[in-house]
Amino acid sequence: MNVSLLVSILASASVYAALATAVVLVYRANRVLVFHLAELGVLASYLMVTLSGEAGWSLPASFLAALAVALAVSVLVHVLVDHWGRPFGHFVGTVLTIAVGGILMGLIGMIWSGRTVRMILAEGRTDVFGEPISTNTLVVMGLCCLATVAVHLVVNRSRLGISMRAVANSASLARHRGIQVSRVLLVVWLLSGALGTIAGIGMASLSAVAMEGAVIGVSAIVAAILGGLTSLGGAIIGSILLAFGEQMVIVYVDPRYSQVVPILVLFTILVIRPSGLSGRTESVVRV
Amino acid sequence: MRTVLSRPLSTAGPHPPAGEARPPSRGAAQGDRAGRRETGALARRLAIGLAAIAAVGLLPTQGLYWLALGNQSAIAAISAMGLTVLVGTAGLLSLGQAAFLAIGGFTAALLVIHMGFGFLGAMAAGGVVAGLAGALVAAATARTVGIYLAVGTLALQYVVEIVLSDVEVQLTSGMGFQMPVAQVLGVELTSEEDWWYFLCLMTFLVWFVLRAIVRGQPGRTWVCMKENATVAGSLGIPVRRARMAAFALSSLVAGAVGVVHGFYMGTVQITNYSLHLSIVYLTIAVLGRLGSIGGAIWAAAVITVLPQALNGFMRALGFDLIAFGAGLEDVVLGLILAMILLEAPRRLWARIRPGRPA
Repeated sequence: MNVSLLVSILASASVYAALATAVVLVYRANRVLVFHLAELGVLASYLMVTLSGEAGWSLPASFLAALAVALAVSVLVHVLVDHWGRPFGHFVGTVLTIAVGGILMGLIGMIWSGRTVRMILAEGRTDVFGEPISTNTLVVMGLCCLATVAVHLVVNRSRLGISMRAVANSASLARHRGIQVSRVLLVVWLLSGALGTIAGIGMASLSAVAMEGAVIGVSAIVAAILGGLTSLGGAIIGSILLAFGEQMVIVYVDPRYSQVVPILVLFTILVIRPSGLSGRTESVVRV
Repeated sequence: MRTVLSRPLSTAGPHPPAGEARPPSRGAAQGDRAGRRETGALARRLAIGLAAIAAVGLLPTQGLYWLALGNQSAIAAISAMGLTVLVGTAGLLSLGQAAFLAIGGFTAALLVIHMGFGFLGAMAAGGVVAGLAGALVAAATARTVGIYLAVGTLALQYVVEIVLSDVEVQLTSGMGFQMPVAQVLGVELTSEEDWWYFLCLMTFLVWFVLRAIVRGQPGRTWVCMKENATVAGSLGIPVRRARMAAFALSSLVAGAVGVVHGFYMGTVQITNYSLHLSIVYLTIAVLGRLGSIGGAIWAAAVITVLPQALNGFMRALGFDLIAFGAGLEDVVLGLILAMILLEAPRRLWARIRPGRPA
């Protein structure tokens, strides 16, 4: 296997990992499966490319602006799902995120009317083990890995992470122990929004800023399911496996069929081992 | 204590004891509304029936534009009726209803063009193939809870779009399959008006059959399964089979509608069956109250006419919304879906007129 293939596998794996981590984070906290994160990422990438291109902002400034918008949307979704939608359960919460995804896609279509734009974060090429690799790919990989690792550190090492895990375990028990559940949930949504933004911008930079970018939402959810849907580490492993399968199909079969891979993986995993690859089975109720 | 008795779980067993008092509503799914139904229920039903007959008779006099909207509503209504049984009665969230329409439509196109099938034969075949596909999805996700089903059906939606667009490119070089004129028992459906009467008849038949199924033993099984699958299993309900049956029924209806849609449009093209359409059907099912088969009919009309009405209204105010195209429709659909899910109208009503039930 050559270096450039390995790098492209790792690059898409890191994008999926960021998004799958966000999915797992929210699912652990309130049992809502988020469907709108990829759309949020697409919105952020359109904002960023518009601000840095037509408006002439610098890349970091336009990134921060896009992030701010995505975080504002995340706060709205938090209010929608965790406050207004709470009495109706997580089933309704999940459909609410689908509705939000639809609204976001509609807005993107209205503002940018399906334009496809290139967005390069870094020019030039860098030598990796003697092979020139596009610096842009490396930057995307670095950003997504950094974001994913940062969230993992927050969840596993900080006091906030402990309260997140407490809420994930039992919201009512956590409330009795003095944890402000609503605030923890807000942080969870903000983190997932930030991860969605970074993943969306990363994906857009790897291919192009386009409405079709929302397809990675399915891949990320599949990667999360592959990892057991409640395990952060599992989400990363699931992402790597999925990216590997997709790249193999792109190289050896037909690029158009790469999107079929997550679906085949999903059906296989649902039939053989619904609890995912990790040993955690707490959330999957078998019928 | 009728309201308690008519709670879904208490009457939804597969074999209720002969002596048990049954609520007058008969419907297990619509159980909690039994009390309100007793007064003036007959009059209301009569009024709805008369209004429906009047609508069927009067729409053809309103011109082609409204007739075309009516036909689109009827097609959406039939698909959404199938979906509302699956999502509302059986509690299985599906995001792939349009995929089953596509499966039915493509099956019909291949059979009609290459094997000389007629309209009704193609409709039966399309329904059966889509139903089998639905049962297969249900079987594949048999070991998981409802939320995985949403992912599974979403995945199906994507895979169907990818595979069938490939089929379309290979066989028709991307032009779509051209369908012949539909013929029902020797009568050719050529004008919008012909289609209107046919679609109304089909809507009525599907409504009647689905209602009978939901009110009968299968429907009770599904309600029980939705309330608590473990309890249902311990009561002796074969949960997996019930789940597969619900999925097969819903996708059978969708497949048959897909065939009708293909003949009505004159072409079968994969771009007609996108994820957007699945979300439209879900919105219709939610707007008409999940599980309410009749509700899907009026909700379909509302959702079909709404974009047109919105456009007309805004044009009257001096804005041209055509430029925004499908984007605005997506936004409106999403807002409706979210608002109905959060029971926004009822909450708003409670704030305007406190103490009065909406």
